[in-house]
Amino acid sequence: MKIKENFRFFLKKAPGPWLCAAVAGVLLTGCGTQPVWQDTFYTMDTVVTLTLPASDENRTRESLEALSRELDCFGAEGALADLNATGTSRDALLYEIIAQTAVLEERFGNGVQLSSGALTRLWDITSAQPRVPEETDRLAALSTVGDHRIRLEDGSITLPPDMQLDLGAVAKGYALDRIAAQWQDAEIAYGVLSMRSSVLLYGEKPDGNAFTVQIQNPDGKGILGTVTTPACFLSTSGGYERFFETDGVRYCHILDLSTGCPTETDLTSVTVFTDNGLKSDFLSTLIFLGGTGQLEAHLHAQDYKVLAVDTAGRIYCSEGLQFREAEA
Amino acid sequence: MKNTRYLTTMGLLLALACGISFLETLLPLPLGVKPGLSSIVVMYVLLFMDARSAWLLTVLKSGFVFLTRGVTAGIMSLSGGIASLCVMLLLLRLLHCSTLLMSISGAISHNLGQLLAAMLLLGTPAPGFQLPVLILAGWIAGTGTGLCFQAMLPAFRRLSRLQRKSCGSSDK
Amino acid sequence: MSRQRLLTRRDALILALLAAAGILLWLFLRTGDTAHVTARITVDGACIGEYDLSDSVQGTFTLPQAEGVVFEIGEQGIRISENDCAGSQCVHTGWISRPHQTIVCLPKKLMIELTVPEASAPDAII
Repeated sequence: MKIKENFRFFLKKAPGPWLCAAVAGVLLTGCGTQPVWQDTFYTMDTVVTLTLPASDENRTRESLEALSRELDCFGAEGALADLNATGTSRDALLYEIIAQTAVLEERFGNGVQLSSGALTRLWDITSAQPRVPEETDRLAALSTVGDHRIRLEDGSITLPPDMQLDLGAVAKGYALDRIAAQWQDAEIAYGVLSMRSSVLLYGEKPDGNAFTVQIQNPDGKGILGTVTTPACFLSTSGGYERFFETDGVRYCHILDLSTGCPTETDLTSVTVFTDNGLKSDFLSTLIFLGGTGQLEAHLHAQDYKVLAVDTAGRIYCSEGLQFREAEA
Repeated sequence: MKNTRYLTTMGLLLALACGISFLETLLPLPLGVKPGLSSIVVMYVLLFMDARSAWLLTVLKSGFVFLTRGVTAGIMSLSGGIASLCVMLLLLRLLHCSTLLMSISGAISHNLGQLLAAMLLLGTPAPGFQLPVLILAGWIAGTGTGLCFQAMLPAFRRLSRLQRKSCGSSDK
Repeated sequence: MSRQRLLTRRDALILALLAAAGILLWLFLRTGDTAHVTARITVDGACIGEYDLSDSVQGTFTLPQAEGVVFEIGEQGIRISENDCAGSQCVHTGWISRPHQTIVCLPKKLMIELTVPEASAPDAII
C-alpha cells in the first residue's frame, strides 16, 4: 500500500522527525507523579501505616516492633516488664524516656505521670475485661503514683516497691523520635509514620508541598478538617477511641491522676503539633486532662501548636496553625 | 545544491520568515496567540523544495530569534518549529495531506512543542493546563495560514518555476 | 505538487476530530469553582509565595525573588501588572482566577499557578 511504502522510504530518508517524536514521547512519560511505598502493620497495640519514598530497606518496621516489645508494660518480657517486675533497670531506652518526661513534668506539672502502671492495670480499660475497681483498690493504686520518687542515677533506674510504670502516655511519641533519628542517619528524604494517635511527618515531600493531616470528628461523624503543616511530630488524645461502657456510663481510657478515675474533661479531642515526638504525646494527654479551663495558656505557646475540640463542638486552634475546617 | 541560486533563494526565504516573525511580535494579541504566518514560508519550502531545506530554514530562523530576542525566545522558537516541521513532514509524506490539514496540524504542533519546552524549562507540568486553549488557537491560526497559502499558490508556482529553470535542482 | 488540494474529505474529518478534541478538553478542564483558589508563585520551581485569593488583601505587591515583577491581586483574581522582561507576554495574559490557570514568564522562570486545596489523600488521618 502506498502509505507503507512511503513509511519505509521516509524512515530511511529522514529519521529526524521520528527521533524527535521518540524523544518527546520519552520525556512526556517521564513527567508523571512519583510512586511512593506504603505498608500497614500492627504493633504497639495499634495500626501503623508507614510511607517511604522507596522500600523499607532501612527496616523501620523492625525497629518499631523491637521498641514495642521493650516498652510494653503489659507484656511478659521486654525492658519495661523487667523494670516493673524487679524494680531496677539499666536499660538506656527507659532511662531516656524517664529523664525526658521528668523535664516535661518539671515544666508542665504532674497531670501526666509514668508511674500510673498500677492504676491502669486495675482499670484494664484496653483489655477484654475492663471493670470499675473498688474504691479501696483504687486509692491503694493511686498512692503508688508519683514520678518524683523514681530514682535516676548514672544510667540506672530504681523504683520504689509497689510502683509500676506505664509508658502509654509517651511510648508512641518516643518511638517517633527514635525512628526520626534512624531516618536522619540513613539520610532518608521523606517519610510518614502514622501510629493513629501519634504521627511523624518527616522531610520534604517529593512534590514540595506541605503535609496534610485530616482530623476526624470526635463524635465519629466524618471529618473535622485538615491541617497543613511542614514536617513535624503530632499526637492526639481523645476518649472516643478507647473506652468502655458499663451501667450506661462511658469511661475513657485516659486517667485523671488526681482521682484515679477516667477523666471527665470537657474536651473531646486534643492534637498537639511540635518538634519532638515524646513531647507531643505527653502534651496531648496533659492538655486533654486539663480541659477548656487550662487551654488558653497552651494556645499561646511558642514551641508547640494545639488543635482542640470540646464537648459542645467548639474548635480551639493555636495561632499560626493552618487549619481548614471541613465544609459542613 | 550548492549553487548561488539556491543560496539566494534560501536567503530570501529566511529573511522573509524572520521578518514576518518579527512583525508578529508587534501585534498586541492576548495570551501570546500568534498567527504564525512565517509557517507559510516553511510550507512553501516543504512543498516546492525539499525537506532538508525546510529543516535548515527552521533552525536558522530560530537562530535569528535567539540572537535578537534572547535564549528563552530562541528555545521556544526552536521547539515549536521542530515540532511543527516534524508533523507537517510526516503528514505530507505519509498521507499526502491537503493544505489545510498541513497548516492546522503544523500550527497546533508548534504550540504543543512550545508547551513542552515551557514545561521542561519550568520543571513542572503545570502549564499543561493551557493545552485546550493552545489546540483551539492553533486550529484557528492554522486555518488562517492555510487559506493564505492556498491563495498564494499561483505566485508560488511561478516562483518555483523560476527557481528550477536555471539549475535543474534535485527532486524530493 | 500538482495534486495539492486545499481540503479533502478525509482531511476534513481529521480536522473536525481535532477541533472536537480541543473543545472537549477545554470543557473538561473548566473546573469553574473559584472558591478557595490559592495562587502559588514559583521561581525556577521554588515556591516564593502562596496566596489564598478569597482571603488575601487586594492590591499590588512585589517579591524579592522576582525582581522587576509587579503582581496584583484584585476582584478578578491575580495578574502580573508590570514586568521588565523581554516578551511581556505574562502581562498580556491578564487576570487569572480559575483553578489550574497559569501565568508564565519564561525568561525569569516565573510561574503563577492557581491551585485548589488538595482533595486528594491526606498524608495522615487521625
